[in-house]
Amino acid sequence: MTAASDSTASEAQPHAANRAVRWLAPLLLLCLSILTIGTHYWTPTSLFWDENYHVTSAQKHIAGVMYMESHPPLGKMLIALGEAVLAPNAQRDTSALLRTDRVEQAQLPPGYSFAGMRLVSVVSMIATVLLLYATLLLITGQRLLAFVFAALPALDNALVVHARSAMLEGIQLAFALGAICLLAFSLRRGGRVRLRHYVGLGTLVGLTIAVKLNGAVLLLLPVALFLADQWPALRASRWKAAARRLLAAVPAFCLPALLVFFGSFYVFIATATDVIPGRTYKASAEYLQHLRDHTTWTPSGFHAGLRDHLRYMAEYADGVPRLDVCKPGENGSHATQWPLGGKTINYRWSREVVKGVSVVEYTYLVSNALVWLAVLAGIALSCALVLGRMVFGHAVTCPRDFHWLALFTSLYLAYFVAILQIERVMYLYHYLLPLMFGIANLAVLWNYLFGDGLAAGRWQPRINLLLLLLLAAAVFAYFAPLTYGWPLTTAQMEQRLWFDVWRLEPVR
Amino acid sequence: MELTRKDTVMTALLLITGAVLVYAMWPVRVAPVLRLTLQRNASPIAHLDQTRSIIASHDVFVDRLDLSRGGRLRHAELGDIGDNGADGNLENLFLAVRKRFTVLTAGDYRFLVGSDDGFSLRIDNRPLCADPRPRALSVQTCGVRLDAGTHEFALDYFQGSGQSGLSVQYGRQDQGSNFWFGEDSAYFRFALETPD
Repeated sequence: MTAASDSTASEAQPHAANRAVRWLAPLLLLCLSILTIGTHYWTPTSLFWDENYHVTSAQKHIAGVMYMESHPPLGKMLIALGEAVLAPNAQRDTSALLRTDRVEQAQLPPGYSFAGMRLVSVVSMIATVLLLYATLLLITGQRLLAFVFAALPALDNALVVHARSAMLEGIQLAFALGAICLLAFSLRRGGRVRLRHYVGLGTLVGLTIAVKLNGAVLLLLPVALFLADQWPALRASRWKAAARRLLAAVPAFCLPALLVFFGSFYVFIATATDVIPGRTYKASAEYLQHLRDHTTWTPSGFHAGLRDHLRYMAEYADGVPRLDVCKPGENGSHATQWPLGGKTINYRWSREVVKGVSVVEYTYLVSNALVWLAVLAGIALSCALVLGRMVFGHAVTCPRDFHWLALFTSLYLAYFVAILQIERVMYLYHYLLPLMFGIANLAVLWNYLFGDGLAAGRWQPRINLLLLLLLAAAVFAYFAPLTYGWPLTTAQMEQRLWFDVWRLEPVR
Repeated sequence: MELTRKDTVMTALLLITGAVLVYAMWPVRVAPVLRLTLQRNASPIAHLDQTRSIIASHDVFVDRLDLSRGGRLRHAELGDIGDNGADGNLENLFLAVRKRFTVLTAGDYRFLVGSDDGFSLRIDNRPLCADPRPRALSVQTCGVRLDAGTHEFALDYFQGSGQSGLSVQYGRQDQGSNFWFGEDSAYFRFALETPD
């Protein structure tokens, strides 16, 4: 080997090492999320909470059966996709699912596997973790910080228990984080905002809303993108230039968003054409005629179907009862309790007596208290920072981080403002979307406070980050029996009742 | 300097949080002073001395006989004593305590036994007091003269249905203060049991 090639080899080694380190964090996150979210995700082998509805709806998608429901169809179509891909129940009689809107466990065929129905939610949540890492890396440029905070969703008991189910939140979060990640990419250092970024953002926001309507809070993202994009023009009062950009940006965002949202309805209406006798819901005579003629794919058929589905969704929402805290067994909770983890929900339990000692296996929606309280503290500090800047004119040390945490805090607060207008009963898992905003906010705030030390390569801020991760992992492990259905005695369960607002109740 | 101070404050905050979490998560344990033998009966219990048909039995170790809280057979730290059956109710349960204890000073003593439902108490195999039928929570005072040295405490209790609870205190007849049975005092001493 010549001297020249020696030199090339020695230069290449650090590059290779850097590349390896670059992939180490996402690889570790992938392993962690597969471990906490993916391991035996087909257990419990019984339905819980809204799975009774979503599994039923997904099976109807597979069979091409028309139904009406309170959520847009995309999430359930994706749940069905997982079932169709793995087909673990292909040899079982699942026809009972087509004749009801809420299937009971007893109606499922013996040996029914949930591996397919829960697959997409699990994969989506794992993707969410990786997207959060990419987002935080783009915003802060700190690999360790991005790793630690991206690990928090994989160590949050509430997120994990929901991700391991055939429900909509895990799927929605992947699209939401995809949208935020794209925004971070659009606004990366040295980058330039282009119209295709608006198109991508519109697509991802549309997908988020097409899973669950509460994703509409992400409509703030294109506003943020436009403000960041045109801030120099706006500051210089170049209104014409800003208006020209607005005229291009609005359709660039809105058209794909609308296309995706209504496109998912179109696929649903065009493909779900079989009507089970007696189950016409509130379909109009016109829509029923199209269903009979199998012409729901035509413009007039789609128009009739879309109108009926949207009307059904609106009427369903109006019919949902209000929160009644006096009702025995009320699982709903007021939104103001969510940041503290109230109220937990006992999704399912089974009891057995082992050597005279009663133990209960729970699937319980309970928060990782460390993560949730840290998120709340982060939001409070961010509000103080934003108010300090806006009201008292305090200097901002890192404007880029400041703008990001102002955005995440705005998303968090806007979600609550919207939710507090809703009169129907809401549940703790409606907090999972703003929780992700809160985790991202906490990461940026951490960078705002300790980023200089991290960038300087000092050991203490790194130790602090790892300490935070360790504490989050410890709390996750402590509450893991409630996430994975590991048996607990009454006394062990009572020891986990950390806050009254949780209203965690052992099964006696 | 400024950076170091911020980092140190955060380190301290995280360590304090860690200490609080360890405290909250540490398994609850109490000194194993008394062995409670719990037996679940197959049929309803109407009398302490009725024929038993035990379907499950296990031991629980507690530090004192202070097990009456909110109408439940419940320890302050350990929570409910006597796991519920598959039906979710604490019922049809026999409980027995056998304990050798040391009297430091001879004299006249009292035992205050509170129970829901019935109980019987014997000291050195001599019946001291009893109410073997179902009853609401009530406290009975039972007097006895004890010499210095070792004595045998034997308490039997049952929970039929509904609310439950059990407590035993002791004290000298000529003193006003009482102590939970299981707690050392100037008068009684209790050795630790050895869990199996």
